[in-house]
Amino acid sequence: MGEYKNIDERELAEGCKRNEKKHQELLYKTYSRKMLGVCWTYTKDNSLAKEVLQEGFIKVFKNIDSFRGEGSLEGWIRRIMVNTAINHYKKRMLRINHIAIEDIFYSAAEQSNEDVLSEITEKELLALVRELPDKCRMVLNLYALEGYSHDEIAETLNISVGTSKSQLSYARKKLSEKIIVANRVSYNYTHAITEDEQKFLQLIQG
Amino acid sequence: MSKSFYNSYKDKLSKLSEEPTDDVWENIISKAINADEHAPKEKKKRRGLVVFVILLSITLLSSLLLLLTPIAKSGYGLQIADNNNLQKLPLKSVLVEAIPTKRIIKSSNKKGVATDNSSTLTSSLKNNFTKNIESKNTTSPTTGKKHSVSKQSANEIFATQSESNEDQENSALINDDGNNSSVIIPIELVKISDIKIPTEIKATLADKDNLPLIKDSVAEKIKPQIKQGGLAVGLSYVCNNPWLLNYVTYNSFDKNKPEIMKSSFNSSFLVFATYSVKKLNIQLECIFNNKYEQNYQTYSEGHAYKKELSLSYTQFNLIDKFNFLNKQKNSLLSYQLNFLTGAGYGYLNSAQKYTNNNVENVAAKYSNSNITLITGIEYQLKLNRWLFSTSLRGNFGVNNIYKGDIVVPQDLNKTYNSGLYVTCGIGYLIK
Repeated sequence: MGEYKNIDERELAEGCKRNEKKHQELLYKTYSRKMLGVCWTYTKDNSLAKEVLQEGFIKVFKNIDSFRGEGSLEGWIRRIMVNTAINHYKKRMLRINHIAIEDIFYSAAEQSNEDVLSEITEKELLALVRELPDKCRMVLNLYALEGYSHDEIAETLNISVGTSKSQLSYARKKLSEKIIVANRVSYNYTHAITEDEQKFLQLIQG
Repeated sequence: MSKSFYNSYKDKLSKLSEEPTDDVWENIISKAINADEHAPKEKKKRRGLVVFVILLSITLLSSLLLLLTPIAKSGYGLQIADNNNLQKLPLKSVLVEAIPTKRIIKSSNKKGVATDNSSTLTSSLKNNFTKNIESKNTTSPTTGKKHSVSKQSANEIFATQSESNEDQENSALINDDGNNSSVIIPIELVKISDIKIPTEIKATLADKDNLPLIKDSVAEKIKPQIKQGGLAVGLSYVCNNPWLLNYVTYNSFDKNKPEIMKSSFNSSFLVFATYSVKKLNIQLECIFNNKYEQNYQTYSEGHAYKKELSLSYTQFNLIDKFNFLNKQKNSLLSYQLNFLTGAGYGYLNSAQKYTNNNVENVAAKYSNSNITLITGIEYQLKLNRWLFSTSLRGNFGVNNIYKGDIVVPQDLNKTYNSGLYVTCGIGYLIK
């Protein structure tokens, strides 16, 4: 792999277009770590994320001819991964007879403090995001991570613009609540396990 | 404020990364290899389409050429002796055409005889022929044999094959029996344009109105016998536009309903065997992967769903091809138009329903048998023993193929198959 260290993404793409295995492997090694992270944020669990990653890379290799080098290769691959995740989400939605949460309107006044995000780590945030319902998670990710407008989200997910807005609002509120709860639990847990408090609890319990 | 929430959210989640396990890459490789194996199939499909287009172009071009090229007609020209006289002649078939200048005297590449017992080929015409025809050697374009056309008397040879042993038979004899003159002309593709004919004779020949028509009965008898009948087998490329007729089809024509239909096209191959006797042609066909599809979009609870119902059958057709036009260019080349009527039986191989790429096997909901009526038109070009054909036909389902289930009973979703087919095929007359 060392001989390909200085290869730029344009050459990498050209090599993949020629179906050269080494270039394909290098492309995978270069972007798979980051793309797995993208897949995590759009899926409920790691196994599904792996599935999306796998399917996404197959699409990348199959459609590499359509990459014209107008944007970055990474952006192009990321777009494929996100679209693959959206397709998985749509399939899931068809199977689940879900309640239309989108009809519930959450006012702006109920929005939580954005500073809550600074209190948790990336992995913790990911775990909480994954607990969100599928639809609002998708809307939140498309809005915050991909920079989609509500119109674009509505078109991508086959929902109305109003639904997109309410889902985003709901996602923010829910996520903030979860973070606050998680922080409290974490606080209680860390303090509960101190030796003094353990002794105190033992005394109380008799 | 809100922006900073989303920015922090993006910053945090963008940092996420982890090396995927090795099995992911292995799966990608294996699926990519499988995809490569599937790729030639797509190429084959494209190749099939190219073959179809080429065959269609050949058929259309050849038919256009045939239509534009003048066809031998026995309606006018040199006159024919009476029926009795003709029947006594040893030669089997005659097709004579005296046509305006630069056109060709034709026969079915066989020796032929035409006689005239009327007075229409006047003595002046005969005299002009014999007086003005210059001695000339011509070569038959088909046989390569030399023909000598010499200035001889009207009772002698008009055009002979000098190297033939059958000089007597091949000779053109003009028998002058007083008023009832009789002309016997053996023909072997001698181009009249090769012979220098004086202007006045050309004018006489061109004036077809001065020459009486051959009686239809006689003309019929002297037509070269087109061999009818035989057994042919072949292969056709089929392109079809299927329609499943049910409530979705009905709703798609109503603007107030959510269903929007989309046309779909499929291709497959058909093998056929045709047995012909005179005007009756029976054709047995088998289509291996005859697909009926319904491709539509509908809305439910604000969501758009793309749905596709795909039924695949092995189809057997029995068709009667009624020949209503048959033109013989020469003994090798002919073309005909057939009207097709028949019936088909299809056995269901698979039934799948795709909803936004989610596949569901719905074979249990559909009947295994599909009976259709077939009608259409076929153009067939016959070159020696090879048959090139193209047809346009419609299939109309007779039975309701929807069996129903607990949720939607049979009567609520009556479904009939139908489709438009274009075929393009090649066959060989084996018997």
